[in-house]
Amino acid sequence: MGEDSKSVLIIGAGIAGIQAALDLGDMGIQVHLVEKQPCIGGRMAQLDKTFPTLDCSICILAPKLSECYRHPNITLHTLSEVQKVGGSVGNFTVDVLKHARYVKEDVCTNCGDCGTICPVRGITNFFDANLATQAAAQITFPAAVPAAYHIDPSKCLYLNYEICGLCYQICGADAIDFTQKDSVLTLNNIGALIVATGLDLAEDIHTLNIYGYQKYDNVIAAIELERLICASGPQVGHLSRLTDGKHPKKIAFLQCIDSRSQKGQMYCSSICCMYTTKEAMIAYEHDNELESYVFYIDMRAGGKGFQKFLRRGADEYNIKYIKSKISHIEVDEDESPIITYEDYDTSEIKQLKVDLAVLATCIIPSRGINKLADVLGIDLNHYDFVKTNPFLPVETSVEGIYTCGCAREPMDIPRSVAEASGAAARAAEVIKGG
Amino acid sequence: MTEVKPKKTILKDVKIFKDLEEEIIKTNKCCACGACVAHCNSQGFDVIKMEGYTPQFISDANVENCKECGVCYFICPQTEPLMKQINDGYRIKDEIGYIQDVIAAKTTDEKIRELGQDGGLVTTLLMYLFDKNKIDAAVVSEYDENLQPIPKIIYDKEDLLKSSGTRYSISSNILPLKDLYTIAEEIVEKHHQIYDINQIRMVFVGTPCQCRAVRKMQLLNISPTHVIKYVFGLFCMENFDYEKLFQLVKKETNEDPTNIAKMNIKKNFFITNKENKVYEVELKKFDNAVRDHCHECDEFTSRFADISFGGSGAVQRNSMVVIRTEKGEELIRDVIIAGYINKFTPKKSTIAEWKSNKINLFRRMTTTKINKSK
Repeated sequence: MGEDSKSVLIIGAGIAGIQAALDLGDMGIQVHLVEKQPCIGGRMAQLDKTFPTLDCSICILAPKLSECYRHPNITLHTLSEVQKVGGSVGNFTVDVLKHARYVKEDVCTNCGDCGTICPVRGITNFFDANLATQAAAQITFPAAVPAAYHIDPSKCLYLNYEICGLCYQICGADAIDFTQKDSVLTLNNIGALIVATGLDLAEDIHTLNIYGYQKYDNVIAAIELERLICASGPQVGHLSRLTDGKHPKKIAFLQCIDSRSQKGQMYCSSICCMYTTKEAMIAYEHDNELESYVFYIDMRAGGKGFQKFLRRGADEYNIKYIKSKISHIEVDEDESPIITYEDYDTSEIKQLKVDLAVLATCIIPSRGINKLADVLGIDLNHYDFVKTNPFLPVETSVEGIYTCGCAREPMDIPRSVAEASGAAARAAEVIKGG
Repeated sequence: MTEVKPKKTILKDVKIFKDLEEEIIKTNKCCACGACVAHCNSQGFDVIKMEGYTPQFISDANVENCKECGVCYFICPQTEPLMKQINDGYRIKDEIGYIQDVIAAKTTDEKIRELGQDGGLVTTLLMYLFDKNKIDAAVVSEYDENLQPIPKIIYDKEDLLKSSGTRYSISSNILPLKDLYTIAEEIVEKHHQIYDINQIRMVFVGTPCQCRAVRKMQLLNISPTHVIKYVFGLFCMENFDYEKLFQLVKKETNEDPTNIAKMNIKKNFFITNKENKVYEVELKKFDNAVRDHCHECDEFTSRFADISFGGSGAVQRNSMVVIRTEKGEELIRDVIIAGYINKFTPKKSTIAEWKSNKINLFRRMTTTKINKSK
């Protein structure tokens, strides 16, 4: 296709955005993939395994990441945000704000010298659910794509005080570039857009203090367990308690945290029943003496093979499912959580002491979505997910702007990927003429 | 002329260790806190060391190793950079700083009461933090056999009692943090939950100038002070040079440092020898032993601490406690609830008056210190 052919701009480079980009790229359509983080991969990159097959998450994802990076039809814009959108279907103009990386992406060899010499320490890493720390010269995770470091401008001593400059001194590839500035890139000829901004989690906005979250170190969120148990995570795959390093022998999984509740989110988070069973299974594989207790309201395992998956959990992985309602969590002198709950089968108030409590926290809309919706002019529903029509699930209220994945509603990875291909197909219709 | 290959740098007009030597160390303004050496060494650079109480280049050959990054000059508690930022950050507007609350309290532990200076509070708080597994180590100072204070990292409460009580000559308390990696190794032996050297949790106990250095370093988030979770400040009127102090002690009491059990400054200098004989010497007789940098200092109550401690103004073997941050307030509340310390309660009708009296006293003492310097 010629120079002035139409391209598609995708916002968000998680698994949904990546799948849409690859589909479109393979059709010969130019794609701009915009991601606000320094690397692509999104939430899926954080996971240890995926359900219901218990495949290693990054192993499935990594080939897609590098394919995306090397694809001749895909242009990646990391550390970037969509700032302004003009025009209409078939001919949008989009302003993308590109934050400076301060490292030349194509020159950096990912050797890590800058991160080693950087005197700034202890900056928590969102990717490891803030359980690990980094220097100001950092890479989000070792297999990040693009495989380039970046410098945190809020913490860098040179950018704030004009001292230090050690990374610049040590970099053998001369990749450090403090002359970079935030810049606005105007992209013309954008035929269609896809909103794939994904999700945040309840703990990002709520303190969850009735569960003792953030008060007791042995009450953790599911994403934290995912990082702790992951071989590339902060404990290199040895699941142990944050308070004393002991391996937990009894884990409680608490369902519907902040979801299906008038005090939190009014909707079902849809994936927690499954990922909880998955996490209990992985934990069991780490330690065959483990007992897991899942405190649930009702198990919502709607999907091919999902019910069988839960059955397997109970039969083979020592998981006990307790239909119940949680009252609160306290800890004993050993910092072990004691869960007070009503057992729905007997209507009795009971207590259970465990070594670790894991909260299945609710998926919430990505926190930047309101601002982005204003920029795009699209409608959100009353939960702040992108509003779509049940019979046209990838179409937003603006013609030529599509959506997929958790930007639209909570969903699992296979469904996000399927929707991404759907959104890509609809966008391709605009470009190629349907 | 020999040609020296210029260092690859992007910095312009940055003050480096050579400037620190000229401006601070050679002019006797250095307070020997050890911040510059601790940072530089923790970075693995082979440039400077502490020689006694003086930071200096390891040798002439090591001058070339200086990366000229300028961080040491910035974090020195006696230099201008970052002062405005930390003053704003800790809400410091005057000579006694921001005060959230003032209380008097004493330990409930018999042993600490015996060994501690006044209320034994710093020791008790550290004991609480160790007991509750809220910290992994603390930087304190303790006496060696010659009554020379040495900075020390303690890892559990068994080590704690040795460091109880006040020392009146300086110890470079930030210095031992230079070996952060070794400290972390020691901790990992005991606490298996630590999987990241950057996530160990320490308490720093020090004088006002040392606390100032720690806060400057923490503002930059730099190694090795990023592991410090609480800063306990000590009231400090002045600090003595070890050699000069004991020459004068010898002159006044004819005692060697090895035979002295305890020293305490109230109105006068009280020196107790190991046979429990107490000497009372006029404080001003020791004026010549005061370190030069103390004359430059405008702090008495450790304005940059989370909590400051001291004997001034306290009665009945209590310590005065000045709470300055949220974190400090929370800790004191927890420690009182846990029964480790008893809070002194003045008669109800006079609490406000009692507090303002104490604050005025601190103000007067700070003014005395500043005037003395002039």
